[in-house]
Order: sequence, then structure tokens, then C-alpha cells
Amino acid sequence: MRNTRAHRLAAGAAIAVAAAVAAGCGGSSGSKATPLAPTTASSPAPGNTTSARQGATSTPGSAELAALQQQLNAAGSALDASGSAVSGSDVNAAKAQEGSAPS
Amino acid sequence: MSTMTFRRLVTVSTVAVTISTFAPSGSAGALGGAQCKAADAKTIFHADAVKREATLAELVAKLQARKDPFAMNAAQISTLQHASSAISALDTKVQATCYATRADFRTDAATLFTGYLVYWLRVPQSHAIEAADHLSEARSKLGTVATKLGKLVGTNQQAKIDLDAMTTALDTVDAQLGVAPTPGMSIAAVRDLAPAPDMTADDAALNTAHSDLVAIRQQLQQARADGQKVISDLQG
Repeated sequence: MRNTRAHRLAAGAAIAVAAAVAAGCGGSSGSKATPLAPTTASSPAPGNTTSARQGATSTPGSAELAALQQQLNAAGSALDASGSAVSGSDVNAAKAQEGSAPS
Repeated sequence: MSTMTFRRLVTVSTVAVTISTFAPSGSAGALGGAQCKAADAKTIFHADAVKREATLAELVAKLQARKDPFAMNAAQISTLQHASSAISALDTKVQATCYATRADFRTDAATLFTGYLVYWLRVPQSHAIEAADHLSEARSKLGTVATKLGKLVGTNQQAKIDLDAMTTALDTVDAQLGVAPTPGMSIAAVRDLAPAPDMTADDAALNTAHSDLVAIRQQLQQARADGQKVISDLQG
């Protein structure tokens, strides 16, 4: 009887560990995630924050970091767009074009 | 005087009256029988005027497309549009005037180059306002990121250090660029510039603003790089 119970407990623990490993997290969300194929079990690569795979395995923190990365990229775009305006604000370059009345 | 001669005189005087009625003073192809001067220069002048009108239209379009966080764009757009209208009117006058001397032409034409200073003043001034607009947008986005990162760093020491660097860079930006809707001092100084016989003060203000804008952009790039480090720190 005890042997049977112990066997069942051990089997249950093994299933739980396997599910956590398959989810790739080992954290609290792993037990709730749908088990994935072994190739998706590893941790997400840094920077690869928008993949479907990570979307399935990410913690709330990593999802937030992905959103912040996008906002950081948007700030970068605004900075890129400012380049020509900043250059164009150079009076020394601009005033050379003024010229004078034709003689 | 014969009847025929009298009719010719009447016809000639009628034509003269007609010309003087439709053309402004000193206009038309001849002045008192003399050839109008500077016809060749008028063509060059017209091209210069059209070029400026096109430049002003481009500047207006760029500012109209922006968000105007410092509430400077509307006034600048109005200034640029007025300059364009005045240049157009000046060109019309110059083209219609019969100049007795080239010096007379140059007196009128010089206004285009000294009275409006499209390239000397309006171009760098408008670009400075546009640049401040873009940089303010970038500052706003980076500020949002910094605030959110502040809630995520927890006990990650490296993330804290990098976030502090990001915040310091943003504080430096605020000191120079200003915080919308209040522009920084050098940006506000540019807003109020107008063409002047002596452009020394205008040049100084534009140079200061340009230097600040270059520095602000570098600080924002640094803040962005620091923010990127924080994200990497938190990703482990």
C-alpha cells in the first residue's frame, strides 16, 4: 500500500517537473503554460523579444521589457528624424546661400 | 496741321494714356523713349524669388507636420507665410517696373536679400524649431521608458547604475531643451529673431541654439544607449 502510494507521488512529481522543463521557465507560469516541443524549452535569446515562442513562455517582466524595447526604438526613430533638422539649424552653413542682388 | 496729322497725334496720345493707366510708375518696356534697364537681371531676380518661395513652402510643410510641443510652430509658420507673400509681391513689382538705371533695380532687388534673409535667418531658425520639436518627442518617449524601467530594476545593481546614467542624461536634456511647453533659453531666443541690418546678435543666438541642439541630441542618444543597457541588465 505504502509502496503504491509512494510510487504514485513520485510519478506525479516527475510529471510536474517535466511540465515545468517543457515550458522553459521553471517558474510560476511554467506550470500553467501549454507544454511545448523540446526545441522551444530553452530560455529566450536576449533581444528576440517579439517572437511567438517567447510570447508563449515569457514572464510578465519580459513582456514589459519587450514593450519598453519598442518604445526605446521609437525614441531612436525620433532621434534619427531630428538629424537633418539639427544640421539645418547651422546658420553658418545656411547663410552662404543668401547671395546678393544681381548686378 | 492737316487732319491726318491731327488724327495720328490723337492716336499716339491715346496709346500713351492707355499705357500709363495700366502700368505702374516707371513701368513698361520703355521710359520716355529710353530702354528699361536690368531686363536680364530681372530674370535672375525672379529665379531667386521663386527659389525662396519654394524654400519657405518646404519649411512651412515641415513645421505643419510636427506636434508643436513648445507652441512655437504656429507663429513661425505665419512668419514664413508672410515672408513668402511679401517676396511674391516684391517680385511682381520688380518684374512690372521699368527701371531707368540698374542702380534703381538693385535698390528694389536688394530687399529680397536683406529684408527677408530667408537663408541666413529663416532656414536655420525654422530648422532649430523643428529640431527642438523632434528632440522633445524623443525626450518624452525616453522619459516614459525610464519611469517604467525604474519600477523594474528592483535589486539589480547594474540596472540601477545604468538607469541612473539614463536619468542624468535626461536631466541634462531638460536643462537645455526645456520641458514642454516651456522651451529652453537658447531655443526661445531663436524663436524671436527677425531680419536686422546688423545680424551679429542673430548669428550669436542661432549659433548658441545650434550648439545646444547638437549637445541635446547627443545626450538623448546617450540616454537611449543607457536605457538599452538597463533592458539588457534586466534580461540577464
